[in-house]
Amino acid sequence: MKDIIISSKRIKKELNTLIVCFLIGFIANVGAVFYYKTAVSEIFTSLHYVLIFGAVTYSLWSIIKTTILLIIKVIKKNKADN
Amino acid sequence: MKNIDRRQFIKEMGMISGGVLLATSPWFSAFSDQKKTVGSKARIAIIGPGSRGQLLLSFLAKNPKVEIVAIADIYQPSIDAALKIAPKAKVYKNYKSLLEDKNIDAVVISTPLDKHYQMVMDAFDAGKHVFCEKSIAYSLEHTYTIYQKYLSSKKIFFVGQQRLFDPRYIHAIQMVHSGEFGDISGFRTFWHRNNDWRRPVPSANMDEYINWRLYKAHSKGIMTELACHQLQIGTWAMREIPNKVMGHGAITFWKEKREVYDNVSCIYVFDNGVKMNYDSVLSNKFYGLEEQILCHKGTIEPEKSKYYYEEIPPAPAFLQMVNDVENAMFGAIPFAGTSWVPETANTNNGHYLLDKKPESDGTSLMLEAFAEAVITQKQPALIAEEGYYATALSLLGHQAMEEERVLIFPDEFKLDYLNHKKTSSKV
Repeated sequence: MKDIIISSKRIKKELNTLIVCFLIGFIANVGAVFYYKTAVSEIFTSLHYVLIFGAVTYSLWSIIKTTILLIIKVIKKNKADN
Repeated sequence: MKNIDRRQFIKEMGMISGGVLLATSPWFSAFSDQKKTVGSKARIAIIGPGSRGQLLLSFLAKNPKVEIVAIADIYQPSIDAALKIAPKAKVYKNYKSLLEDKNIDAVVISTPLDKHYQMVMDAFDAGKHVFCEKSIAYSLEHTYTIYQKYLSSKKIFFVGQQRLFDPRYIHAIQMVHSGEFGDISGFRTFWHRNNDWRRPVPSANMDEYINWRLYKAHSKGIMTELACHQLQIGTWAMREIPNKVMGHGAITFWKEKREVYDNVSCIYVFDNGVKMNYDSVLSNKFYGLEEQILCHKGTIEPEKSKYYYEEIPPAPAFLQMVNDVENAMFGAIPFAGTSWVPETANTNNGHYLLDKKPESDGTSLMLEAFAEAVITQKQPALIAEEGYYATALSLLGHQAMEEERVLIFPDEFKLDYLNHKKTSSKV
């Protein structure tokens, strides 16, 4: 079985992506609090929703990214064969 | 949920300091001298220690300020059961002999409804204080005469309306009176059961004696046995007596050996148009019993010990946003506006009226108040009047159903109480 090596550069990139997903959720929550005129404390009391949102967004992004990479890989392989 | 005992309840509700409790429930003044009455005893006898009477007896027996002096009944199994609770009680087969006993200060009357009138009148004549189980009497005339007799006797008079002493109800009414829920819009009171009320009898000739609630000669059925408790919540909350009643009653399911209705529906109308509905069916118990107080800003269900605000706090902003985005992306296009949405019942879980569960439904507290009043010889405010109108309204509802017409509260049976003013003497 072949070992899979994940470089520190890749880990850093993925962590950054995760933080960006979480930040999008956090900013969206702040915006929603002001838009819907609810209690400002919700910025902190709704953090669990933000965390879930961040995880779901990251997962979706990962699926999209993997799909695109697979398509590119298949196209490249076809060109090389030709 | 922890239990709440009597002392804790009175203390917490501010009775000692004459606080809000007395404003809502002035009959709690019975406890104002409770420290002074320590060591004193009310000598009480019970007439009719049947099933309800035995329950009352069990509470009285636990009260150190009560001495159970005697019991009177003609049914030996009831006497035997009562003696197990109060073994030192003297037994009388005739209640009139009991009333001649000078060692008795007060009597608790827990007999069939049609027997109340003569027994209460005789008890007052004998100089006894009286606790009479609801309803007070079989007819409006008798109820009014008993009330007048109580006034002239200067004795203590209690009616078994235990909700007046139930912490859940007291708290509910306090919230209504404080304006927390806005104006009262209506009442939906109901008591549903799925049984025929019939108790086993040792022989067929005892049926009318044991199952007296099913016979017209002895009872007015649902109205005097159940509704009496619940209609009183409406007048207590509204601080007003409804002046109009209409209704319909029928025997729809339990048709064997039953003379009283097993299916009733009444509408009581207050002067401002607010209505109190009363329903009872004895062949379906899904909704049980409740007195729903419907207000502009909320609903209270004292029996469940819960209240519900009309406006539910909005969901967190984040969820509202997700919901709106979802609706914008996948929602159906509205074609008939929001009024088309079916208005199904509100499903909010509400809040509890009390943090702790009361130890009883108010019956024990009511009997303690009676004992205190007997010792101090001070009639607590308004308790007789509340009992009077609870009985009067249940009898009037029954009459409206029997005659199948709308009835107006008769002037001759009005007291000077709340919105009622005495305008003429009894005819």
